[in-house]
Amino acid sequence: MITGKELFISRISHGLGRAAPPDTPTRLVYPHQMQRRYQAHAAKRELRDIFIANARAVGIDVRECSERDLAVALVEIVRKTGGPVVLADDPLLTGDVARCLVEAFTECHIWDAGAGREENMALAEKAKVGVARAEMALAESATTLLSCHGGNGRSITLLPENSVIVIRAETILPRLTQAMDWLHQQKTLPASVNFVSGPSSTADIELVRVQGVHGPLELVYIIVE
Amino acid sequence: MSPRVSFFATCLADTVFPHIAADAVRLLEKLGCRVTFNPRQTCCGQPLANAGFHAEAAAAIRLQLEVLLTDPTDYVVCPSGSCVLQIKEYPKFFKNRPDLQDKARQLGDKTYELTDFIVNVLGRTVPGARLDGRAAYHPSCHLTRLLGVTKPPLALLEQVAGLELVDFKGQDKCCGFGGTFAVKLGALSSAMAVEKVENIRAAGAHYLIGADAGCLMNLQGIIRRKRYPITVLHIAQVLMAD
Amino acid sequence: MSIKTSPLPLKERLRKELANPVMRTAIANAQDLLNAKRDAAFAELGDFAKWRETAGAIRSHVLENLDFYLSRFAERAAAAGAHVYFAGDAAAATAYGLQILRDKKAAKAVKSKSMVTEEIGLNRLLEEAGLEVVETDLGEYLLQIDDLDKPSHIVVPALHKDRERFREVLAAKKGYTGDSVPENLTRFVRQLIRKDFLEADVGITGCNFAVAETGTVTLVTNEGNGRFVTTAPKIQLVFMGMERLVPTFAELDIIFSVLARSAVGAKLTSYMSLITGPRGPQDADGPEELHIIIVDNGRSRVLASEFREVLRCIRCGTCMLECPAYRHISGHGYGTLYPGPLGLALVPVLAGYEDYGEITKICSLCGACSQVCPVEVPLYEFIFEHRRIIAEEQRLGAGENFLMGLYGAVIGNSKLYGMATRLARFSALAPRAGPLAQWTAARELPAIPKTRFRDWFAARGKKGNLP
Ligand code: SF4
Repeated sequence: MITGKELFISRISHGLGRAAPPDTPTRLVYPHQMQRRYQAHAAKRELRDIFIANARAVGIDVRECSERDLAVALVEIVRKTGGPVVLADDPLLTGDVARCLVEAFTECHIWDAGAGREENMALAEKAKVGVARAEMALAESATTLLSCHGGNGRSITLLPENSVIVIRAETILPRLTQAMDWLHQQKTLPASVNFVSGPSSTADIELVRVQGVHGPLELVYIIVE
Repeated sequence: MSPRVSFFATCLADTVFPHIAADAVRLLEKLGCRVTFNPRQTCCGQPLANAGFHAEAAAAIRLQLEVLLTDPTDYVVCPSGSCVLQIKEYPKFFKNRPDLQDKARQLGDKTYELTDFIVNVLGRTVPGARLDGRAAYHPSCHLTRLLGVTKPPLALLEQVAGLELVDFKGQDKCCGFGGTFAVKLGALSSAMAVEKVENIRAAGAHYLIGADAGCLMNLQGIIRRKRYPITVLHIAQVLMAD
Repeated sequence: MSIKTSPLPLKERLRKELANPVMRTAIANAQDLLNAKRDAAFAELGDFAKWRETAGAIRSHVLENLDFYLSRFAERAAAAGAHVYFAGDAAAATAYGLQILRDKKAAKAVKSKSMVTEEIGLNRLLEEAGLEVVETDLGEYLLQIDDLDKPSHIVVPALHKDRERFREVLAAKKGYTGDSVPENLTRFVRQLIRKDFLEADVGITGCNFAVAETGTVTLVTNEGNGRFVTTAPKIQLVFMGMERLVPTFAELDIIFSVLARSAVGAKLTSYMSLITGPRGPQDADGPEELHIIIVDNGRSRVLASEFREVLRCIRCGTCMLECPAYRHISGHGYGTLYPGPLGLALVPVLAGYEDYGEITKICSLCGACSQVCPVEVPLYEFIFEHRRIIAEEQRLGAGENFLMGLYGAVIGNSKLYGMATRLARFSALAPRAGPLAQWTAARELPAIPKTRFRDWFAARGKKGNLP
């Protein structure tokens, strides 16, 4: 539904010296393409090293393991933070990982989109740890891209105090440019896509950095082979 | 052939700081220029233009245009980046007069700030200058940011025997002069100047050196009021000191 | 609030701010720290000139095609399930918002920081209509509970306060009993607002940039409140200034890359949320309804004017951080929602010279802002041009007009100039009133010598030296 468009747009067209919007926009010519040059020829391993270094520099706890050891890695994390845990409904997490977590701790919930809003959010609100998988990661800014829909509810990486984001090693790309390319190629976009580049933080009081405002207090990245 | 230079003194140096203008002339002559001064020149009109009074500035702009272009010289040289900026912007004031705009462009092309002229046109340094002590250099905004003359003053000061240049906090910040800004919002302007002066003092400078008499007058006003033992000098004076 | 944030006249505002040492220290420290971080971030990125040229070209392209991109955005957003409203002015925008909230019988709204909602005075109207509105950005929240204090910067709104003030306010208004350590203050607020987040029926946000191609709106925050506001409540209201668009994700890349670096010296903010329509059929959380209200409120006037390019602005706030005048008076000295160089360039044309022409005086024309703006808004040139228009329209006082006219007449004529400068040295005898008083309040006047340069030059053939 669109309301009040005609008059509004025509005022703009007039301001631009025409009666109505053109059928096509003028051509946008990029004077430079510097964004595409960043680590354009870096090997996967290099990108991964850059990603890890940049993530650690902003206070993100980064771990690496094989896919098989992911369950162990998560158990180790949750042993420190305590449960309950909420997991995204993702093949990487729901099999072995979920089983091991349930064995080690009593409460481990998988996001159940069918169960509705209140129930899922209540579980996420109670959880100490939320675990989700990233579509991809970006080396330059230590960013992960979360496609928040279906089994990967928005609340999983937002409500619990500890956020764990699992990254497949081969999905680490140079920078935001590549993530935007990927979004551009999607036929339909999920209602919510989130880029995470660090733990929730603020500098509103005397510009002193405080980690953990509204979102998670701690952020862990696990890179799996 | 020695370059022929028409000297634009600026109204401020002409009336308030004649020794600065005189030293600038001596300096140019020392470097082999033939200097003329057309006494019909007045003021570049910048104080008016910056306050918005373009119509009121029009007569002065035309006058300088005529006077400075009449002299059969190769260059116009001026010991103030701010006034040079104004002269270089003269074409803007003649949007509806292509003939005058052309002349204004001609004038702009041959006009240089003193240190820029010495370093980049003459390709010279100044031999024999000597001043003993620590000096803070204030890079004036119009000279550095808007004309892009950042290195020449420093290159020349580095050659001065006995002079130690010290960096200070907030060195590239505006001194708060801004022409009529200093009298319209005097309290804010002087707050800016005071911070600058305190930083210069904290750096332990004996001298404050600049290339623009406007900024120097402003900062000197604070220094004298506070009775700080800092001597304020225009770079032309420093380069002529021995 | 609206664009005007102070009832005091200009000189009184300045006097008040100049007499506030807590604020002045805080702002000076913030400038020094954030500017160094910004410079370091761009140095690491490299090619600053290319990035800003590209970012500027993108923004300029959007303005040139704004009617096209707005239409496209509205269509695509609607196709994704959003309701899109076009509001010509503040009244229309708030009316849309109120109507939606009434229809939904909403009682409580959580907000993430948004300049345009401040501009249209949304909070006050919502509260008058009986809604509880909670600002969730930490700085905004503390301003809100500190009897609606005004932001002093567009990115870090409570920059003018120190931790002690934060503690006092939380103690007085919310029963806080802890110390003034920022971490403890923050934790306390986290607990308070968390409840609000989960209770609220409406989330109100601004929009950093909307993507025309996909109908996506975006929010960037470090605290995570932007994510919260768009996750927990069932209804989401987005207010966006009409120029805040990019054509596609490719351009969003460039703009986000310069925005975070300019604003806070970070590569990116901790969270960037891209929202396309309300939650999907498979989604359990997120808003069921998404309403996007696009606001003109003077922007089409700016677009049609010679100041169009000021609409390139991406609200990074770095021109304020660079400004030597802002340094001493903070955003409060301007008395306008948009302060600093951006405010000087934008507000007089957005909201009229009548009320806001005067702020263009708060500038020494040092040019520092133009050099750092990541989208190359010609701030210096615009301020200069506003002043020309203001003088030409005779908006300055009769006294100033007279003095400037007199000065112009003197310097426009060689003979008059000769006479006047010969008399200048007697100015020392003039009473310390008017403009001179402004100068001499803090500064000494230089003594004017008897011999002018021109006299020396004329005489030097004979004598050769200054007396
Ligand atoms: S004018 Fe430029 S520097 Fe100032 S806030 Fe806008 S984008 Fe940033």
